[in-house]
Amino acid sequence: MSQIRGLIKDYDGFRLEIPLMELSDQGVTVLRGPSGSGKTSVLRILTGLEPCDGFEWWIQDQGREINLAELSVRDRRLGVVFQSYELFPHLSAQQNLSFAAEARGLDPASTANRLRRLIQRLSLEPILERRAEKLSGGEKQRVALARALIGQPRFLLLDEPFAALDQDLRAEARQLLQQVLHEEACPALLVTHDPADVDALATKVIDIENGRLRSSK
Amino acid sequence: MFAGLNFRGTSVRWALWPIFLPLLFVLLAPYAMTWRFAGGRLYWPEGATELLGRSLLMAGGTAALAVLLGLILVPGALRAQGVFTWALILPAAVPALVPILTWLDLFPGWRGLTAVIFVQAIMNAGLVAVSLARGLESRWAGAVELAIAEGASPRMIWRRALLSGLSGELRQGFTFVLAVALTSFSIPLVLGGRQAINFEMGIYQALQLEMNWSAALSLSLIQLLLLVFLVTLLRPRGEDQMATRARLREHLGSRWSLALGLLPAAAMLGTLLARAGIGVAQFDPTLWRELPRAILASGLVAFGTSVFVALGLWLVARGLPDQRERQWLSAYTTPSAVLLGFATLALGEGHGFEMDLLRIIVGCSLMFAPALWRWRIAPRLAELDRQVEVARCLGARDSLIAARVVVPAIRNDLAWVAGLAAFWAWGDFALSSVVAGRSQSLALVARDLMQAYRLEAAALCIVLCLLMGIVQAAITQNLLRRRE
Repeated sequence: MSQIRGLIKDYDGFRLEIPLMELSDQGVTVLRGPSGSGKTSVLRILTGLEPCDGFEWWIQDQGREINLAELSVRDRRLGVVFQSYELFPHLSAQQNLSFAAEARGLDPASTANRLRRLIQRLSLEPILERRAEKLSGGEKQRVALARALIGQPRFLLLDEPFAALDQDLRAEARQLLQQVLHEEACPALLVTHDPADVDALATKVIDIENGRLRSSK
Repeated sequence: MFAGLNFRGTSVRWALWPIFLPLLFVLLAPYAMTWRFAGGRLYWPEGATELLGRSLLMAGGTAALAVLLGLILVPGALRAQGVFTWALILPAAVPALVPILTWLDLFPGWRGLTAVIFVQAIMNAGLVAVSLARGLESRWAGAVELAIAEGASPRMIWRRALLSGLSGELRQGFTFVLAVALTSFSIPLVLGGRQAINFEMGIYQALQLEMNWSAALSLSLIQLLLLVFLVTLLRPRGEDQMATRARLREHLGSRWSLALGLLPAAAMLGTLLARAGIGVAQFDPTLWRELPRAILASGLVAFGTSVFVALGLWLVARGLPDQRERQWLSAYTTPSAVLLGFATLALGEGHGFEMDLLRIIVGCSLMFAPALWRWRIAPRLAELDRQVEVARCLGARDSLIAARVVVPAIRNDLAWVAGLAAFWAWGDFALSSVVAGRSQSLALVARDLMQAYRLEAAALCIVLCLLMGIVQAAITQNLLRRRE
């Protein structure tokens, strides 16, 4: 289990108050809640994009406990997939992936195998040379997932990653995500309000409402 | 001054210095210079109260009339699409020489305060209308559709809902035009008559005619305070909802209003072409001899200005300014074209051809860059915020994000602002009047001809300015654009 403590922050007219939250070290922890419940704020604080005084995130890393909250956004080594994927539209799918590898300072030679495996696993070969703005929703999602995983993140954060997909594609995308996460042995936090995501992916479910945790199972 | 900035890392903040230094130069150099010449003496100049009153009357009158005309043109702006929208904005974007010449042609004897108010209001009315129309589309589209579905007539919607609903946008439009009119110089210079009718003219007269540095410094500080106050009232607009735009156009748009809104652009074009045709015959041998040198000078000024502006804004973008830093930069307004002009004297003494051009280039760049930043680059950088966040999450350093994400993404915008800066530089005569020892550029030649009432010859020069400006802008944009 990784532990989050003191996630307390006041916004204009809204208070996020999570004294303690535990995320599973394996599989997918789902943070479930209605719109405006504070899910995305939690995610932004975890990534380090939003500051939060007194917040701690203790995680096991190579046999020792480290507090990710003390590290910079870069040094936390997290993978993130946002709802709108936010691929760099002027770059090709391949360039989006190599940007992520370069961003983590990975050696191209040693990354090549891993990159090849992810490309194969996520069926990205036919679209590698295509610019991101020309990709379909499903293709974008797969590239975004590969981009988030290329740097071997300590944790993968997923912000409603299926919301922009058609209903038909969602089931397929969920299955693919589950398989890839299992193969990569990467724990994930999935933010969603869709019960189907919970049924298909969750190893642990945390409910949030009005900035406070309601239950955890 | 920098207390509010979020210093994330030294390298990033250093990257912002290339823009902060020119800003500091613009802000401080005029004051430092005038402070030295004024002997550190600040006072409430004689006639300043009257000037303040006239300045506020002129700017307030301009803003009120522009907003009133803008309201009348809103249905036209809703109706307008593509090139027609640009035609509505055109009077505010063309060099001031064009509306001045049109006014002198249509109303030769009408000068003074009211002439300045009318010209400036007509110039800005289309821009205000387009801005109000966009506000309407972004905030009221859904409610208007509902009202129409419930059977309300367009007139009823305008009267009962939109006038009060648009009060925020109306205030913004009023404040924007007020700030523009307070700092306008070229139109009061040519049409204002003998008496100074705003602070810029007061500063110009204090320096050019009386060499009274203390008075100039005091007046510019009063103006700066007014400007800072006004800029704090301006807020960014909401986002467009394009989906409902077409339906609003159908229900509330008006062809009559659009035709009315296109009149200023048509009048300008008609006057220019009609006068310019006669102007060819009026060009005497002296003017023909002067023309190549003036064209060369204007071309160099436009080239230099576009390079400086694009380079400056590229440097800012590379610095990845965050939201607060962008707001700080957007709040900056060039304090006074006249003072800015005099500040460029710090670049060196003498009035040779090269030195005059260098001063005009630096002055124009510093004058245009803040406007182009607010207009195009700041909103574009705001759109890239999420991509920058994702890149940071992926572990990218700011230098990599700037080089691979931000700069390629805004390259076409930089090309656009460089082109527009070149176009504006071709038509600048306000700052050039202050800076240059003699009429070096084509726009200055046009100004001289206008002041001598040789309107046909002036029109020909202005047409040349516009054509050359358009050509140079197109070439600049084409050279800098990203190849797909």
